[in-house]
Amino acid sequence: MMGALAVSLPLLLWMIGFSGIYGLHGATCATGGTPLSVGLPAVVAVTAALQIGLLAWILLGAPRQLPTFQRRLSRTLAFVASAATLWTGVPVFVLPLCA
Amino acid sequence: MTPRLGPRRSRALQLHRKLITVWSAPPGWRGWLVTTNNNDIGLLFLGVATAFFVIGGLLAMLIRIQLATPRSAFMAAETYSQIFTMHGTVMMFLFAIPFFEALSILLLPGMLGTRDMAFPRLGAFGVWVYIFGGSAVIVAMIMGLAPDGGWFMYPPLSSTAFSPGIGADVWLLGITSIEVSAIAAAVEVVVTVLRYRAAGMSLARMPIFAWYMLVVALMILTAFPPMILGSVLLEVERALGWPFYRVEEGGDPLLWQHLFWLFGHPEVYIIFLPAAGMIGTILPVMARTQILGYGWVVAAAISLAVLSFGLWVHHMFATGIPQLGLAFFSAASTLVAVPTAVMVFAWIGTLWQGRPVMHLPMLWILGFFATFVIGGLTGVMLAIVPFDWQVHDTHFIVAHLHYVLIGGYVFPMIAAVYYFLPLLTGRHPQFRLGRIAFWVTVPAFHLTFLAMHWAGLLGQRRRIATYEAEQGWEAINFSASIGAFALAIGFALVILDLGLNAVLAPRSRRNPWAAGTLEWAVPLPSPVYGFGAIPVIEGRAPLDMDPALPHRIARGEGYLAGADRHRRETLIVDTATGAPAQVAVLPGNSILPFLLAIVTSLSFLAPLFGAHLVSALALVGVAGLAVFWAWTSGRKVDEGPVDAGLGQILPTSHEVPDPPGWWGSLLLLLADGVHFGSLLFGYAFLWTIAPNWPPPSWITPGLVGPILAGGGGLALMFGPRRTVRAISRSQPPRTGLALTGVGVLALAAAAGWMLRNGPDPTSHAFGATVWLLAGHVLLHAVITLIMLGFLALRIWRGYTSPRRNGEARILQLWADFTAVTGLLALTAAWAPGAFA
Ligand code: HEM
Repeated sequence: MMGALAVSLPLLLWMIGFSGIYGLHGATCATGGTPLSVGLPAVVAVTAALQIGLLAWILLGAPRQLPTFQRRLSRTLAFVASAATLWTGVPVFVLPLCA
Repeated sequence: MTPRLGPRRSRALQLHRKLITVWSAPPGWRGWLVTTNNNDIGLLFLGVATAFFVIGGLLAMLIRIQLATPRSAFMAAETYSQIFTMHGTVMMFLFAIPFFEALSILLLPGMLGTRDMAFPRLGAFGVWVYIFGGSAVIVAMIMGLAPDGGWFMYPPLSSTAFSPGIGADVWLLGITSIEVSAIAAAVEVVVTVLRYRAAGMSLARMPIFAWYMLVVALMILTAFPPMILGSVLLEVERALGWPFYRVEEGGDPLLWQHLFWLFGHPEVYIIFLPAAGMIGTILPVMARTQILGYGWVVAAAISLAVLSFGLWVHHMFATGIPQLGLAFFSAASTLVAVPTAVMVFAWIGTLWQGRPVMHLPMLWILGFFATFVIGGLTGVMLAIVPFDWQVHDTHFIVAHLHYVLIGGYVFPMIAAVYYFLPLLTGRHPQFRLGRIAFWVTVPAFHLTFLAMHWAGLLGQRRRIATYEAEQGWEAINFSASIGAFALAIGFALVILDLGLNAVLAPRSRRNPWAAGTLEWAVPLPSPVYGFGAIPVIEGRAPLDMDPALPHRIARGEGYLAGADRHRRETLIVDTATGAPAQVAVLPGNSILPFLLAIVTSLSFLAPLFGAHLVSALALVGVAGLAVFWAWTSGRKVDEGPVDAGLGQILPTSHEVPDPPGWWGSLLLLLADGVHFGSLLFGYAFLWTIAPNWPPPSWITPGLVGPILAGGGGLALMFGPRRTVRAISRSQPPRTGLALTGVGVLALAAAAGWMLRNGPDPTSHAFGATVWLLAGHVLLHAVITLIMLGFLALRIWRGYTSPRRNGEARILQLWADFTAVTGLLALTAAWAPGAFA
């Protein structure tokens, strides 16, 4: 169970965050920008924080005790997910919201 | 005089005889109708998929004849539209997906060291549905009823206003039935890979192809449901006039694009990953080494699968999404390049460290490399948004797509078929004609599609039947057409060569390629039962570690040697460690899958001809047969743990809390959940994005509905749990069953209550959505009720006991799902009215 969680959670979180941000963005622009416009960067930041937290748990928490293969796999995927979260989140901070 | 066999040979022969009687299908054509064995089913699947490839190829030839000369009068523009739509549809849905499913049904059990797939009858059902659905689509085309809206069927072009007649319906219903079969195969693959393996095959020791197929199957379970939803919405709009895609009434055609590409982009990887899995399997053997960076490759496959879902909107760069939205998807597009690169480096590294031999499979893999690199480059060009705008909808896109599909998929699949041919035919391929075929195909391919890239850059639009002589495209198009014919000849030679090799080549010895994985541990051609005994393995390449393993397996050294209990048995293992956990008892030959496929297809296809009554009757037939199907498995007495060999005593799969059916249900519900999630997404999308919202009125929840729903949902969660507990303690389960029944009826009543004063589904997309949400609740209520009745009957007839409580746990799973999604659906429908 722990193995399954450690392997699947990080990328799932990326996916949920990414879809959430996309949805929120659509809603934000459809409703004319406010009041959700502060929300978008905040959501990105929260997702990133959660992702880093997850990474820390996988590196330092219980998944350390998994068999070698699952441990390495979950670590790699956690790094991938963190990088993906940051990479796909950056545009929120540098581009105009609804132009 | 008969030769005297040594005691070991004769032991192997005895086992073989026993196993053959238990596992074989009856001889002759009847055998094909009732067989459920993966060898037979896989072969049938493969043959039919190849036939569809030939049909798709013939259509491609028609396209190229038309485009060979300017102002061609070969066919009318309307016919051309039908032909390219059918070419794309046949290739994508009737060839590409089924072909790799066929290979995995054929090969996975051998690779994993087990005797069959987890759900043999489900596999057979999937194949028949595919054959019927696919044939119906082809027949419709021959009758001139083909769809003509392009293989992705964008509304409003595919709506009744612009596509009257039944062409579009043929597409929607035919393709949806094929998706149903793909989901069946995916469920089967996941459960097989996770649980049906050789003893000791931990996750780290799984063959690389099994990892890829696990990932692909999970992708199918999550990517197909949005597409099915999209098709359902479009079909409902066309048949009943519910305006999901009509802007004037609160719909939005962009919703289709989202749902389609939510499927469509992962689809590209769903097609590419099995090919990559095959390369990862074949390349190391051809290079006489082990795959480099196994763990990295697994991680890359998983990452690619998930990241590719972020790409759906990149197909819609040209639809006017804000700049920031585009940036997200440009970011996601560049992201998937990383895992792809990891795989490519792993392959190159494998080649580097090995000593490759140029057998024919290897040659095709090199053909893949050459082609794929170019295809990947043009793909990166397309990920750059301004460039995409420039070449959008030109032959550049068509050429790119074929580089990826033919170079990245068809070539590796040909390599795979050559590589595994000895397993299927027992003969070792001789390659003279095969080499000629290769050297015709690959250059012809490049001629064709390089020319098409060029035509696209010059501005030739796709899906247009003619062009003018002044445009200066004649030479290019003519070359492309010549190339296409040479390409077709090349493919025909490949098929001819394979056919000749299957009947004429000399008999092969065991493991002709000196591979290390278990599928080569069997005698050739692979017998129906696969392994004489389920082996115990200690590494990723068991045959390298122990070359005598095949003989030991044949002599019955391992688990479940022979078939002493006169039924089909194989091992179920712990997912992570591969430790033996249960003895799976598999069903034998059965006509049920074939019959169920007939009624299922009928229920899909009858509406095309307005025969709604037939369709309804067929649906009743589906339910009846499904219940009968379930009834035929299970036991009336406790058998207790059985001897699994090697001193292990294990419970059978009938007497565990998590039988294979439980796992299967869990995965089916995953797909169902994604389908439901997509419905909620569609609702939210229309509400926030579509013009002409809010609707004229919301619906007010009142008190009765929510109370019924809340109470019903609770009872539905509580009832099955009580039932399971009662069965496990040998107590009468009446209360639990009754509670479940009351719960499901109350939930259904709540949905009915909502519709009683609900909005008109034809006047606004909101009304249509509310009806669809209610429909979801009612459908699942009916399913739960049928399962409940079934369980009650089973309990009454003595099919349950504290050991045999798996069926009650399956009901619990479905009831939970019905309750949770039902409450969500009703809340979503009521929420706006409650807050307004
Ligand atoms: C045998 C060699 C093939 C040739 C010569 C060929 C040729 C073509 C051409 C010329 C078109 C463009 C028609 C137009 O837009 O006007 C096309 C479209 C297409 N082809 Fe192929 N093709 C071949 C094989 C394949 C294969 C193997 C696949 C998939 C596995 C495939 C999938 C598609 C798809 C999805 C489309 C788009 C259809 C649409 O626009 O709706 N093709 N093909």
